[in-house]
Amino acid sequence: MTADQVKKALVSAVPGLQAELRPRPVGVRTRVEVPELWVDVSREGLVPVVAALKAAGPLHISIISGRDKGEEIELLYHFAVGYGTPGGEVMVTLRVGVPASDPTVPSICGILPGAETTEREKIEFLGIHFTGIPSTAHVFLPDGFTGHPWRKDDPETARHVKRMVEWEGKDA
Amino acid sequence: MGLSSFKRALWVFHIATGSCNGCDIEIVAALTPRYDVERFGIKLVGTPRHADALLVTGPVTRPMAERLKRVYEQTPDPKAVVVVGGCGSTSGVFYESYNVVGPVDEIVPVDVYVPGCPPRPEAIIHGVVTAVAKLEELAGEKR
Amino acid sequence: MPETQNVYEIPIGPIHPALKEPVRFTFQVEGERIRAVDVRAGFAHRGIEFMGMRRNLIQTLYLSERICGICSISHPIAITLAVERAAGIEVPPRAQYLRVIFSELERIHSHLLWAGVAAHELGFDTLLHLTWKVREQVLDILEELSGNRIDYAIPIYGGVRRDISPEQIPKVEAMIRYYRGLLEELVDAFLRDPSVAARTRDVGVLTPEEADLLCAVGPTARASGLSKDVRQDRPYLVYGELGVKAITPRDWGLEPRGDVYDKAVVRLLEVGQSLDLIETCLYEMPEGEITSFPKIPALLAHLKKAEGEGLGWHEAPRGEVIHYIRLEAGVEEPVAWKVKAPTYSNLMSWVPMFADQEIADIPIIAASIDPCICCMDRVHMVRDGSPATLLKEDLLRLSREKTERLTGHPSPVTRHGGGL
Repeated sequence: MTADQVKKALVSAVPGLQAELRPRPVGVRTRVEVPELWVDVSREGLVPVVAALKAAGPLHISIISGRDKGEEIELLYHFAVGYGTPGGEVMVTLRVGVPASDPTVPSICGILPGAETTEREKIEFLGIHFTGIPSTAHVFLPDGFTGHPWRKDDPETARHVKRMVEWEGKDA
Repeated sequence: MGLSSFKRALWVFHIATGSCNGCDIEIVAALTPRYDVERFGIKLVGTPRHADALLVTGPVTRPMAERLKRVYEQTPDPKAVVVVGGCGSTSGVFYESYNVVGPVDEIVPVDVYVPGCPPRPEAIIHGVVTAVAKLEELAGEKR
Repeated sequence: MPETQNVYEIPIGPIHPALKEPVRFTFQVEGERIRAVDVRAGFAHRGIEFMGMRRNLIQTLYLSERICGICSISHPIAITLAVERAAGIEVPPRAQYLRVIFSELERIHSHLLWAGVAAHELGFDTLLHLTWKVREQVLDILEELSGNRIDYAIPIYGGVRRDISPEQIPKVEAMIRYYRGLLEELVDAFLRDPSVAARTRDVGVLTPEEADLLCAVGPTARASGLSKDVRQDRPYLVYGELGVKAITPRDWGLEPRGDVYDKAVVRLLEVGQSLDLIETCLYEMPEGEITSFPKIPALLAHLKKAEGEGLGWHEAPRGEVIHYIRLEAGVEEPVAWKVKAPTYSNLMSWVPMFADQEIADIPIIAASIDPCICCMDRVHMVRDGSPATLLKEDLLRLSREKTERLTGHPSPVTRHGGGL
């Protein structure tokens, strides 16, 4: 699997999609470059893009990471395309921005059932709504926990944070 | 502590309350041939109802706090609680989290603290021996 | 017999059977057969990422070491690689080799640990004690090199914190010789033992298709015959040059079946592979600096100015670890930090593996993915005093009875219940 093949697959799903190649030099005696692609995708484009990646080669989802940027919540889908190809995996990161007022994203579990745990985790931590996800039960947080710890200034989380170390400057 | 010989075998129950596994594998290491605590009659048991002492590891996460209490109540008296590891003793690096409610002594009474991240098996054995001394004292008082 | 629905629910955990760590299973059983399973994690969830996003990067590094005491090299390697990528820090060649040596030492200790636990779950305590006895040798070397048996504090942004001195090299070589001489015996005890085979063959099967769809990683995926290994597929550090090949049961001359036996094959063979890698690194490692930032204040100042994002990955003993980090100029804390531990990816594999298995096989199947709950939780409530709750001792007893039934004679294990 090469970066160009992945780019072709991305463009076939969403015409005109721009992928930024960030080659990663590795090695000491013989330097090689491991391709990393970073792509901005709209939430409407997410499912077609993942389907195209799946069609391009064995697809593995490492994790979905994310952060609260204030008005927008940024989700980063980290995939390994061509999973299991010696020296030939391409790390593809899809960046999906959703408004904090309407954090709805289509679930990709239909294409990749292995994504369920990480999607459920994003429900808990960032309060994302995944449409079509098989289960929305908590994985990590206690059942009665209604907060979203990674949201900025989440009152429910703040209530639970125990101030243990009072001598730490900013918390005194 | 003036303990020259054990008057009894000590059975311990291990409960992990959200530890990182470091202390837990050192507890197992204490049981295996190099340290071999079974030669002293110290043995891990499968239920708190058979135990004389509790070995508690971990900073106590929110869902485990209630279970720790329940396990403590299920352990028959006289009993001793040994906290193994820095995070169980003082919360250690796990401060300021929404899901950590420890350290252990905020949840149940503690008799022996074994600090270290993780403590060596020798230190864990020493902690358990200190607990034996405490239990023998308790037994003496009752007589 | 009239057809009736005899499905019972058995909750196990969170303080429980096979594992030392808290996780809860709810099994739907019909007689001795498991019909369905629900896994609830989160009991060991400490909110590590949340805490990390409120501390400076050096503190976050120490926190990453305490995600898991068994993977206390793997998580720091992944986070340092991510931060180095985000902040544009180069790692000196010698430090790259040293990181590989330490992570392979960790793999040896972790795989031997698993082998012992697996033997215990089968009721073969003699083998548990044998493997844990020989495991002490690698812990001695780790202590010699790092100063601690567990939690080594070796990787730091820009390099490593300790070098291997010329006087220490013969000790590492002696360890390699010790394990090479012993590996055949260990392999014999596990893989050529008829009772081990009877308890693990065709138990807890994960087909390659399921492994692929559920995104399984590490030995769990490799035992199903998928040749996936981050060290091979997505080179980092010096693994690309070392020519690492993913080990599957084919390397043992068997067609992969994806059962517990195959998982043991993969892990035991990987011990040998790690020995080779350590040896190669010791000879190929160039002289030179071990870190590009010998002074911590200079490192912190550089990190505070850094702006960017990065990914770091590593093949931990259990599979792929990946960290994502985002740094912003002017703030000491990472603005985003996401940790993915291998058990996180393998969690879903338990569902097909438990399907249609016997209750007595629960401990060994649960242990077969080498679950590391503390890694993953970064889980629900048992119904109070439910009469259906199995005690850990009952499960071990069932497991041991099955071994006895299969071998036709009492197994040479302690019969008085106790467990790990």
